[in-house]
Amino acid sequence: MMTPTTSRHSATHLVTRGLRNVLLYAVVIVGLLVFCIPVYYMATTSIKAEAEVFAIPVHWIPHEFKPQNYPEAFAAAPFARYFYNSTVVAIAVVFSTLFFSALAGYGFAKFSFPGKTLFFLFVLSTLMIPFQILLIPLYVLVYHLGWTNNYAGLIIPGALTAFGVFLMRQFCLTLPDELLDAARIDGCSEPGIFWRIVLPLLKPPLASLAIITFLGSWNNFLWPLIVVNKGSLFTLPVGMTVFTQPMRAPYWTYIMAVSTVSTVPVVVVFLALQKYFIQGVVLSGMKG
Amino acid sequence: MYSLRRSRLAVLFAIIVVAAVLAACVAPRLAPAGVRPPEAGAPAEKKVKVVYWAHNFEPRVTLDQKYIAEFMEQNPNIEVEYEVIPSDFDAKLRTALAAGTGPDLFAQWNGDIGTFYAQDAIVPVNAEALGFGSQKELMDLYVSPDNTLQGAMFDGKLYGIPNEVSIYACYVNKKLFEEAGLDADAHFPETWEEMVDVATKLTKRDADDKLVQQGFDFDYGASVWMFLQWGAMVRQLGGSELEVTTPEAEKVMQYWVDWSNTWKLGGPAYWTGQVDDFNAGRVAIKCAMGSWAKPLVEEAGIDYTLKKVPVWENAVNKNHFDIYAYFHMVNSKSAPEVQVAAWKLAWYLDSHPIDYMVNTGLLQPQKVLAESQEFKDILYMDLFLDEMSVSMYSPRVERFTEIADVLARARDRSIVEGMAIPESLATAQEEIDAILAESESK
Amino acid sequence: MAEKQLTANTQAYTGSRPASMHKTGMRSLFFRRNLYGLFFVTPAMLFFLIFNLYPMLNGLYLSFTEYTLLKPPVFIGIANYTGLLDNKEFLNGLQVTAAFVLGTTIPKWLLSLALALLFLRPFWGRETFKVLYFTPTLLSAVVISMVWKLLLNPNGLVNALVTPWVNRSEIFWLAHSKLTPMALMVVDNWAGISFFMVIWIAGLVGIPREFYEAALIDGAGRWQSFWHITLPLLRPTTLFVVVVSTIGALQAFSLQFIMTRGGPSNVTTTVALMVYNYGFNYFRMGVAATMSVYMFVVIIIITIVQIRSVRSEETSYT
Repeated sequence: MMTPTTSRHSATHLVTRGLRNVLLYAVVIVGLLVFCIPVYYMATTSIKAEAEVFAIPVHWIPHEFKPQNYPEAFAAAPFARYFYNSTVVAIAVVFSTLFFSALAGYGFAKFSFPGKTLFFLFVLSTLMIPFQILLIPLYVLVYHLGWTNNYAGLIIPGALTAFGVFLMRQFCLTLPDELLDAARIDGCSEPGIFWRIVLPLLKPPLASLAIITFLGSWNNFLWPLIVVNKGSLFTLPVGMTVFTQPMRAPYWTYIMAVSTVSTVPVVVVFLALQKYFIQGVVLSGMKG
Repeated sequence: MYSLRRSRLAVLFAIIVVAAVLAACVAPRLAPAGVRPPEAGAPAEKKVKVVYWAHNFEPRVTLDQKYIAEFMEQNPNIEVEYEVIPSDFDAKLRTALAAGTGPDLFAQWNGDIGTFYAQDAIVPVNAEALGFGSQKELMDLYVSPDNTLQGAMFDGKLYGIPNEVSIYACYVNKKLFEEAGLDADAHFPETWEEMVDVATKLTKRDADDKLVQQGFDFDYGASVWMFLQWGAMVRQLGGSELEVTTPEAEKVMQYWVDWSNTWKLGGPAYWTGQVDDFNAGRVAIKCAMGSWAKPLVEEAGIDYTLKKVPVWENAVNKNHFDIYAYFHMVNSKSAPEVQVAAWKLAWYLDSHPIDYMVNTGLLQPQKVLAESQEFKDILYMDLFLDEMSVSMYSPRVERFTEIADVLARARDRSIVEGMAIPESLATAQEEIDAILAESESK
Repeated sequence: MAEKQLTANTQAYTGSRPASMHKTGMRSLFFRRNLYGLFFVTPAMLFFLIFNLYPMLNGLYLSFTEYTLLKPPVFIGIANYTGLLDNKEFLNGLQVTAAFVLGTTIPKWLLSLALALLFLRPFWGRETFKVLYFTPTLLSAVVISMVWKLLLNPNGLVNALVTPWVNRSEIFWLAHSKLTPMALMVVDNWAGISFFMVIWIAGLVGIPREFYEAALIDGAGRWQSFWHITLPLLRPTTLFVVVVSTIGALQAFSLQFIMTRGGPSNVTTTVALMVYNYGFNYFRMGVAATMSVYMFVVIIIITIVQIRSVRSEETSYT
C-alpha cells in the first residue's frame, strides 16, 4: 500500500486497479456504516414517536416526524440549565488547564532546578491512578474547602491535568534555546519570555489541548455525579441519569433527544477546529 | 523587539503568588474524614440550624416546603435548610456521611438502616422531646406498629419516623384477562402454584415463538428487589434469605428458574422497567408496585384492579411481599440541640398523614389516617394497609446492599448461566456468611 | 509538520536535553533564572499535591484500614490485602478485567492500524470519510452507553439486523453470560478505534518517503517494507497506542456501570466497578482502596513491560 504508484498502464493493471478500487470503497463504506449507523440511529430516534422505536421492520426514517420530543425531553428536567452548567464548567476548565499547563510545561522543559525529575515523574504517575480511589478523599477535601454545591467543586479539581502538563512540556522541548537566549540578551525577563515568546509559539498545541480538555470536561460523569447535590448545578451527563431510574423503563426518544443535544457542541467544536482537533490527537501521540 | 510592560508582568506574578499562597493555606485545613465541621456545634444562643435532605418527588416536595415554612414560623429559633436531591440519593447520602458532612435529618429508605444502626450513624427517636410520654405512645398512633414500624426497630428502640410506607401489591390488567377469557376477580391466583397456570394462559407468543405478552413476571432491575420479592417468598415458607442452603430457599429459586427456563414465562432478559412493562400492556400482572404507582397506571389509561400478592399453598407465614419505608432519621454526629430540633421537624412533617395521602399519595400508616373518610374514599388504599398488617420488612442487616448483590448473582447464575441451584446457593451462602461474620466481629 | 513532531517524539523517548546554559551567563544568573523554572511549575505542583497526591496518599492509608464511611477508619494492617486474595469476587473481577483488556486492545490496535493504512492512499472522498469515521470519538460515555443499550435491546436494531441470519427469534445481548462481555467489548472497540486510527495516520504520515523509495530500489515488497520500515519507525506511535488503550481498558468503568451494572451475575464486573461498589454501595472503602492500589500496581507493571518490550524491539531492528 505504501509503494508509490508506477506509471505502467497495461490493460491488466487497469483492471486490477479498478478491482482494487471497488474493494477499497466496499471496505470504506462498510466501515462508514458501522461507525455512523449508531449515531444516525440516535439522531433519528430522537424525532420518532416512542411507539416506532422498536418497530419491525426497522423505521430507518421516522414515519411520524416528532420534533416535539426535544421540548418535551427538555421539560422533563431543567436540561437548559444543565447545558449552561456544562458550558460554564468546560470553559473555565479549558482556560485554567491551558494557562497552568503551558506554564508548568515550559518550566519543566527549559529550566533545571532541584527535584525537577522527581516532580515530573510524580505528575506522570498521576495519569495511572484509578479515579475511584481519589473519590472519597477528594470529596472530603472539596467539602472542607467549601466547594460542594458551587461551581468551584465542579471546576477546580479538574482545572489542570497531568496530560496537559506533559503535552506542553513535550512541545516546549522542541523550542529552540537560541530564541529564548536571544530574548534574554535583549533584557527580557523570564515571565516576559513566557508571556510574549513561549505562549504565542505554543498556540497550535494549546488549541489542541483546549479541544481535548473541552471534550473531557463536557463528557465527565463520575465526579459531577458525586460532588453536587443541587439540581441547579447538574451537568448534562449527570442530568441524563433522570432517564435511567430503575423504576421507569427508559423513554428512548427523550434519551436520544438529550443525547443528540449534548453531542452537538462537541460536533460543532470538532467541525470548526477540525484541523486542530486532529492535530491535538496527533500531538497526544507524544504522550506515551 | 521584546520590550516589556512591567505592570503586566507584575500582575502575572501577583496572580501566581496569590494562587500559591491560597493553595498553601488551604492544605493545613484538611481535616480527616468523619470529623464534623466546627459550625455544627453552634452556641446555644444562636439559631439552631437543621439541614434536611430528601429525595425528589415533586408533589411531596411542595407539601414539605409548605410545612417547613409553617414549622419555622412556629419555632423562630430553628432554621431549616431543605435540600432535595434530584438523583442518586443513596450514593450522595453515603458520600456525605462519609465526609462527615451529612445532613442532620434525612428521609431515606430502609435499605441502609441496618448499616446506619450498626455504625452508630443514627440516633433513636426522642419521643419525650416530641411531647410523648414514651416511645410506645408514639408507636400506638400507627396501624399494626409491630409490622409497619418494624423496619426501624433495633433492640426495642425506634430509629426513624416514616414519611412514606409502601408495600407491593399486584396490579392486574383487566383487558388482558378478558382477552384470555379470564375474569380478573374470579381467576386471580391466590397462590404461587396457581400463578403458573394463570400466567401461562395470559402469555402470548408470535409466529417466531417470540414472547410478545407476559402473564406475570418478577422484577429484576435492582438487586435489592431480591429481598423484597424472593426473600419474602422464602419467608412465606418459614425460611430466611440469609440461610439459603435450605429446602425453602431452593424451592423458591427453583420456581424462579422454572419461570424463566422451563415454563418460559419471562425472566431477567425481558425486564425493562418496574412500571412501564405493565403500562404498555406487555404484562398482565405486575406485583412489584406500591400505592405510588396508581397515578402512573391511571395516567397510562390501563383498566386495572389491585390484588394481594400470592402466597404459597402450604405457607407458614402469610406475609406478602416486603414492606419498605422512607424513614426520617437523625444524624448521630449532629449536636444534641440540633438532633432535638431535627426530630421536632420530622414529627411536624409526619403528623399530617391525611394531607400527605390526599396530595401526594404517600401512605403514613397512622390510625387517624386509616379512620378518616378521605382514606376510605381512595380506592384500594385499604388493600395496601391490609397487606402491611401481616407482612414484614426485609432483614435489617448491615451491608444490606452487598447481600442483595449476592442474592442477585445467585439468581443470575442459575437462571442465565444454568448453574445447578444447590451449587449456586452454596456459593451465595459462603458469601453471606463471610459478610455477616465480618459485621459481627466488630 | 508531522515529521517534526515525529522527531519530537523520538526525542521524548531518548531523554530530554539539558536545559539551556547561557554561554556568557554567570553562575548566579543561571541559578536565578532556574528559580523561575521552579516558580513556573509551582502552581501545577501545588495543584497536583493537593488534588492528586493528598487524596492518593489518603487512599493508600485507607487501604490499611477498615473504613465503613460512617466511622473513622481503623488501622488493620495488611488484612485487606490478604483478604482480597481469597475473595472470589475480586479474582473474578480480575479475570473479567483481563478479558476486557485483551478484547478491547488487540482488536483496537489491529483494526485502527488497518484503517489508518487504508486512509493513507488517496481516494475520492477520503477526508469526508475520515471525519465521519471519527464521530464515535465525540460521544460521551453516557451517550455511547445509552445508544448501545437501545441498539442491543431484545427488540432493537442489532437484533432486527442479526436474527434473520442466525435463525433465532431474539438474542439477549445484555442478559447472557457469554454474549454480554463480548457485546461490551464490541461497543468499546467501536467507540475507540477511530481515535487510534487518527494517531496511526499521524505516525504514518510522519515517515519520510525516502525510506520507501530506498526500499523499492532494494527490491523490497510491500509487506517487507511494512515490516522492516513502517513498523520500526512507528514505534513511538505504537507505544502510545498500546499504553493508552491498555490503561483505559484496565480502568474500564463507564460502560459496565451504565449498561449492565456488572451483570448478569458478575460477568461484566470489572475491578474498577468493584471499587465503586465496595466504596459507595457496600460501605467498605478500605477494601475498595486496597483494590485500587492493586490496580495501580498492575497498571504500572504492565506499562513498564510494554514500554520495555516496544523499546527492546527498537534496538533489535536498528
